[in-house]
Amino acid sequence: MKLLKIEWLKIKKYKTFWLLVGLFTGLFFLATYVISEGMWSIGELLSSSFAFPSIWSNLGNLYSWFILFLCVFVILSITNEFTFKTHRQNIIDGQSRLDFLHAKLLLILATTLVSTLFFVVIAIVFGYIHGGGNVFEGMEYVIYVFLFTLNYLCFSALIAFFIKRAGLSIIILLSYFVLESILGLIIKYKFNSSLGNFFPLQSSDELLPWNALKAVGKYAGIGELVIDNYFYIMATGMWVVIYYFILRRKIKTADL
Amino acid sequence: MTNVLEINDIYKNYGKVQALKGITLNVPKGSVFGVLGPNGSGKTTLLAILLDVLQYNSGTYQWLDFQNATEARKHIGALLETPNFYHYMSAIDNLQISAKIKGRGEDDIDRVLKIVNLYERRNSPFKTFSLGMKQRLAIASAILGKPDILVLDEPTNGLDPVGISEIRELILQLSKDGMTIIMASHLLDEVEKVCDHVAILKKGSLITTGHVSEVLSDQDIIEISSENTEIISFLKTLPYCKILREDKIIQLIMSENYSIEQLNQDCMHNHIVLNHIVRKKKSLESKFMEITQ
Repeated sequence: MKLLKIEWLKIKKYKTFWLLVGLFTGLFFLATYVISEGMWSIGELLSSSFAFPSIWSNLGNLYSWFILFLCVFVILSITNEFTFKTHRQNIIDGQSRLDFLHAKLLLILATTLVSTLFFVVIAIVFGYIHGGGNVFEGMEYVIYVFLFTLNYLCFSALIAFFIKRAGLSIIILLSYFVLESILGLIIKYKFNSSLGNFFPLQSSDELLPWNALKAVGKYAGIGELVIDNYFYIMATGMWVVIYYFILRRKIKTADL
Repeated sequence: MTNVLEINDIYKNYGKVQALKGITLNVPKGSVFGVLGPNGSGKTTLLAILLDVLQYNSGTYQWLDFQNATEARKHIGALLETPNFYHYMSAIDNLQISAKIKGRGEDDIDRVLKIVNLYERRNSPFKTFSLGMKQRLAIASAILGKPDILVLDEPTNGLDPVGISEIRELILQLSKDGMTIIMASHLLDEVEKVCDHVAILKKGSLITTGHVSEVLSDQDIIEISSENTEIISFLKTLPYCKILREDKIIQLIMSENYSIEQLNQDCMHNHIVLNHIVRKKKSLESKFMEITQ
């Protein structure tokens, strides 16, 4: 808790943090409202129903649109330390290198929990507004959103710790996302293999699949390989653990 | 005298460049220990290793009063190179973070800000501070919570003469209160005024270490001058002379068993008339120049 309190002291006065939080929550809420009210027709991208259980998958997919705001926040919270060289000062003041890393990971975990909770609240509110139903049906998407967020934020942290510059880290994150998607498609098209589904970000993307992408796959004649979400959950968890051990080694051996 | 820090054979490489070559020294408890050396001698590298900012290739160091280095750092206040704070936060907010990490000093913030004359600017963002103010805040952070040990890398950097004098007085006062202080500085005059022990580094190697009086204990400086332009070349032929500075006033040291009178006689025999010949007590600066040339 002490580590999390220290991180809170660092970010609570950081205006960009509040801006990103505001954008994430505001835009997610507004998009949910606009789409659920039919003001914005998005065709086959999402199911037309916003009652339970469809709302969980709908909002899960919609949620994934806005993850970038949280990724930018994580990147900034880490790269600022290198920019200001405050990571050195934290170590000089007595924080161990591992504690410095764990503090950032705890911040990521707290962000993941809060954003997932926000997702749950929005889903429940809009679910009841649009017809109700069994709120617990389809609730596995809460776990998917949690893992999706954790994976993306940890991956962002990995990039930030290695690149140490905010702008370049964001560019690399976006570039990697596109690259991974393209590689996955090539593997699927050329080799009829689902290996690309288990790439670092793709493994959690598969938990919140876009209906439109599935439709595109059908039009392209690419066979749909059905893989149980259990495997994607395991893969996502494995990737998060891998990121942690890479970061742990990095922070323990590097000159700061 | 007990030691607070023992460094044993530390090596540090940056690729092919050897920044530290087998540094071994002890820092006595309660001392004001100066680490001197020209640019690139390894002073900051050594301090950064002690503060776990840099890794080292081999050797050991131990803070003797503490279980491990991480535990020791909670009792060390430090200033390393440039002041490092969160630019968007105020002085007081930055010190709160330092205090939180150290686990002490949250009720000491006002005191240290007053000591460094930043109390009136405690709510100003760090990014609005001048270099001198940033340095003062760094010193405030270092002394926050009354640490047992202070490690300062160029503490007077960016300060005006009044500020330099205030920091000197602060260091002397802290030393009287029993704090061990390790200080790297280029201002040899300042080091001589406050330090009782010194270590001199050159190109990553330890040249000498010890009590200031021991380091300065050997020969005095001889100052001479002459209208004869051949004097420098003549002095270079004398086996008992080592020239420290070639200028209008030439500074040199002489081997033991040779006197000023001998030097004067040798010059006269070679038709060189000295119009200025003075023996000066060796200063740390002159010793530093002698050692590092």
